[in-house]
Amino acid sequence: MRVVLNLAIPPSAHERYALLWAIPATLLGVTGLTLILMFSLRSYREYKVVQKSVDELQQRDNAVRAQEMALRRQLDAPESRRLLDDVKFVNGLIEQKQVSLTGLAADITELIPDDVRLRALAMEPEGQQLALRFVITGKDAKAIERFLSNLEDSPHFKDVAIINEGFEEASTTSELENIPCTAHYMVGERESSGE
Amino acid sequence: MNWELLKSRLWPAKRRERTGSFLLPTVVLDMQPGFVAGAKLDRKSRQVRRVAVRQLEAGALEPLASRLNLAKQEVVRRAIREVLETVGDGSGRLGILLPDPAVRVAILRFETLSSDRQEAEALVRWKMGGLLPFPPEEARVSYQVLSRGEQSVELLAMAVRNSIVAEYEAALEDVSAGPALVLPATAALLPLLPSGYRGSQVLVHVCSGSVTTVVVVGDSISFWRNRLLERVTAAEDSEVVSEFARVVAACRDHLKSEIEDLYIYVRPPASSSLDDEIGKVTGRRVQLLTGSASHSEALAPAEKKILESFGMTFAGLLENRN
Repeated sequence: MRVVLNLAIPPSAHERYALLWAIPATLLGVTGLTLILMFSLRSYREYKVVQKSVDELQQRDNAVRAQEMALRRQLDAPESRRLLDDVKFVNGLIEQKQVSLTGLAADITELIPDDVRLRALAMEPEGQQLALRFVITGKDAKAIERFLSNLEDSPHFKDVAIINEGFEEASTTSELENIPCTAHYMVGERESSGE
Repeated sequence: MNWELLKSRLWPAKRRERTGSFLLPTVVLDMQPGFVAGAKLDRKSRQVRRVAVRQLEAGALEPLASRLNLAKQEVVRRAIREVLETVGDGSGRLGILLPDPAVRVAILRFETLSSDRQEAEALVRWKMGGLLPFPPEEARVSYQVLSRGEQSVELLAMAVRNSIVAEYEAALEDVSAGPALVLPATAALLPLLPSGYRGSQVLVHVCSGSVTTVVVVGDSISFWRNRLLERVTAAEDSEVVSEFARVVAACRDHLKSEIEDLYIYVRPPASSSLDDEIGKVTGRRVQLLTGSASHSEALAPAEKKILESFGMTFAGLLENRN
């Protein structure tokens, strides 16, 4: 008599084909892992590039900071500090409208005779006054003297002096060239004189 | 995430507990109260390649349908290991032949039987429920159709408690990936009965303190009874004879069938001539159950002897052609 009974539970498809499924599953896993590794590697490279850029920027920032510090140190040097103080003073005066460059130019221009030309003009603070240095060229000594007299007579200027005593006479003409003079510009005299 | 819930949804318990149909593994273990026998089978040539047996000490294996069987599990495990070391190739899925008392067998009759396997199994389980000493939902059920008429369907159904099978499986867990075949030992002897016989045959399987009697009419089983013997001594024979006389009487009264051929298989081999005593009581010639000589051609003489004394079940499995 043939028996077809069996009290054993047959293995499920999962158990039966586990080995068969293991191959594609492993392949899929390996493929997935490879993709993840590739993406990770790419991300790591990108990160490295960005990191390099950040480092470069950091270095540039550091260099600029060092440059700034050097400039600050330079500014803090005594001569620069003095220059800065002078500039601040002049600027302060200009700010307070106690001195006007155009007014100064107008005052000088007013006093210059026709045969004298103003070649250069500079000013620097000297206490509460402004010391002027200007270079003039005159047709002759009389013209220069007339200009200097005009300056001395003017209420805006005092202590007029010629720095270089010897007049430099042009070789071809009788003109006296580049005569440096100094004077003190009376700050505030313009307002008090009613001009 | 609840993995258990997900698992139970995807793979319902009923589906997991559904038994399969017969298949012949290459290595089969026959675990009985007094011994563990094992054989390596060649499915292609239908031959037993190796066979071995190890005695078990008394009380190591106590076959019951509702209680745990392996009282001394380590002893049984050791015997299994030794048998498999001899027959070899125990790493795959094995076959297990259980002691008959551990399995409940019944002939069931239905007016109709659903073609849906799940429904049919539920019906068989319900019908077997009355015969089981444990809740039917704890049973692992297998059945085969014996005959299908216009108004009735006759089944041979078997049930074993899940925990009992699990216990035997646990004894094998070191050496096997789980059983591919689980049957009561007597079921493995049935294919050795002559086929195509139109009359009534009786198979008596006496094994380590229990006797199983099966009546086969034509090619169909009409009666299956297992009884634990009270005394495993010389007096056992008289118990077997009286049990056999009861079966013959039951067949005559209920099945209206006269027993014509008697086959007997006693394990371990009986010292007294049990077959003669049964013959005297019934007045019929009793034949010792044997298998085809071709099954044991590859065996050494000593192993042939073991096969005849303990391993006819293996020969029966080889005979059970699909």
